[in-house]
Amino acid sequence: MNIEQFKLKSNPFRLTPSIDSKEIIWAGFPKIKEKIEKRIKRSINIPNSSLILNWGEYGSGKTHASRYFNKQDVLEKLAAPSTVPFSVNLSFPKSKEPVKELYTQIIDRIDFVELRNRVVEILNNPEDIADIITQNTLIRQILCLLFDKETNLMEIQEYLYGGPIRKLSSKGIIRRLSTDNDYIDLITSLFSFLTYEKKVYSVIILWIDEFEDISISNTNNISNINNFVRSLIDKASNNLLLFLNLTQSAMMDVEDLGEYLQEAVKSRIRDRIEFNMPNPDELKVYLEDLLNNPLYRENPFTGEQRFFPFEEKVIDLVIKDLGNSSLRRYNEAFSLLLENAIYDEKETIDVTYYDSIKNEIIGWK
Amino acid sequence: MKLPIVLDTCTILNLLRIDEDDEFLYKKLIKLNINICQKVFEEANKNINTKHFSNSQKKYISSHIPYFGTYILTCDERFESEYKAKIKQFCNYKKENGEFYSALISLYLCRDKNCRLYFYTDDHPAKNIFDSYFSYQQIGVIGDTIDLLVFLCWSNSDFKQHMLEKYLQNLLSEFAIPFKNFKDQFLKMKKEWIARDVKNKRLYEELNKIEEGIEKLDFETIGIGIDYFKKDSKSYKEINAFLDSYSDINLSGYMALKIKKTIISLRKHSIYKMSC
Repeated sequence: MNIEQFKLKSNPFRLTPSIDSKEIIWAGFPKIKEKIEKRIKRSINIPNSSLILNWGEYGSGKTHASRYFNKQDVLEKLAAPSTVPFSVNLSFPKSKEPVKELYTQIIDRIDFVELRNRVVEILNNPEDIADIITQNTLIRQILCLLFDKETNLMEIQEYLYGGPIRKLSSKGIIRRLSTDNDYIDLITSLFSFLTYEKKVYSVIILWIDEFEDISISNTNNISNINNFVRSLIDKASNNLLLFLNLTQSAMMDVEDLGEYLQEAVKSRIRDRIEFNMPNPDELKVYLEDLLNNPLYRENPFTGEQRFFPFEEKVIDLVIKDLGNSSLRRYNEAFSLLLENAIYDEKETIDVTYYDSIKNEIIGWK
Repeated sequence: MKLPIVLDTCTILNLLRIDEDDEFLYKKLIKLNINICQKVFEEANKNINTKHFSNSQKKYISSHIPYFGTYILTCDERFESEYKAKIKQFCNYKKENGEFYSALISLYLCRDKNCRLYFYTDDHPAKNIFDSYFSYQQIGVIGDTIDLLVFLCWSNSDFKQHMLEKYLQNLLSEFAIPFKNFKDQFLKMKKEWIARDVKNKRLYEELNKIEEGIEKLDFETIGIGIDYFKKDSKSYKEINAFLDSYSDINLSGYMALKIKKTIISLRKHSIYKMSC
């Protein structure tokens, strides 16, 4: 027996967030979705810079949210008819050079061929805009070369990663990028350039995952990361939306965060979005949405069959037995239940079956 | 009189790994009446290369460890042979490691100098084992690097509380990052282990125990979970290999938690220093 007999294309209860963007869907939790959408829409249309904290327990869906809202089609839909945002997912830096690591992560995620084409197509005067947004001649020259069709893109990309300046010195690039200030200046100028009058992109959205790790960083890194965030907000002050994902844990509480953020950063916090433990109603909406999403099922089930192959009573029992647990824990339990039912060749997952393997599903709690 | 202190390998290394180029902590430390045993000196030299230090930490520690050779204390031979056996018997301890010899020289030093002393170690299982002996023989107190940093802070006028907080945060980072890496890797592997053996209820239960322990920083629960896999090395080769590669994880977690609690405490209750 395989999963298709449950009228499913694959197991919908992913234990790790999918990397393939087509497989990243949003199920349930309409309030959280709406809150994030509102924030993004506001930033698309109004020139401002905001910092939003996404708080939640481990496995509550923050990373998933960052991946979902980085999807091009989702952003295009939110932006229409305005210009689309430019969104990047970052991990909290773990190296001894956090600013350089964040810079590299950002550069890694940019498709420069696509970006150059877009800029050339939209802007008639990139050099004039570069003049307006920075007085740093090196940074200005880098921007101009990045968006100059006559310049070999690979050479400038190599330079951005610390490659040789030999081939570029004749074009005004006379030194390497080396300090944290250089990296911050380039990133903030690039962002300002791209969002100038919201022409190429309406807003830059950055999601930094696992930001709670700031509480276990050393004091140098804490200071450098604060400087990075503050500079981003100060220098790209008009069109930046920064989401910081924070997992509440025994090592990091909501109240603790203030101890690790500089005043200039704290003052930019505009909202806190809570990814709370799901309540039974939220879970049931989530399950119905997930099981009947076109990614997993051609023809959605409705009415009493809406949780197929699970009987509704089984859903209620799992919720009762697992209690106040994270969404990840629920996904894990439903995934196991589904896999076991396939293995045991069940046609539906009813209370009798659930009771017979309950200990394997709920386990030690 | 400066009261003697005895330092264990981990405390020396932990203090040096967070010291900076101005040797602030090192200079404060060497003003104390330091004593170490030969074994600790050997372990410190060996561990520079086996522990996870950055290159700059390795360079700094290597250049300072040789000076600790001058603090080696050798006990009277007769005392050593007699009390090695007695401590082992009292504490039911078999290993002859740095902690063991540190306890031995602590007893010797205490009686020789006719005073009580402080023994600093970050090996908390060893601390628990030797605590009762220290109490029984009235040798003094066993503390750790956190206690030593607090002592250095109040006993030096130029060691301000904000500096203590900075050093503690840097020490926290040294322990909490390996613990976080363990957590990330464990959670990643856990899914694979469960998926490969979906009908193994006990596996699921014990892995959940470790996860629950990690999330709540409950080291006893982590230990119970780990012990289950250790006892069945044949069935769980891969899990045991993984756990072996993080053998110090409970120590790291324990230290991280204690440092965190101290940092939080310092925000509310300052360390009293008598004004000069």
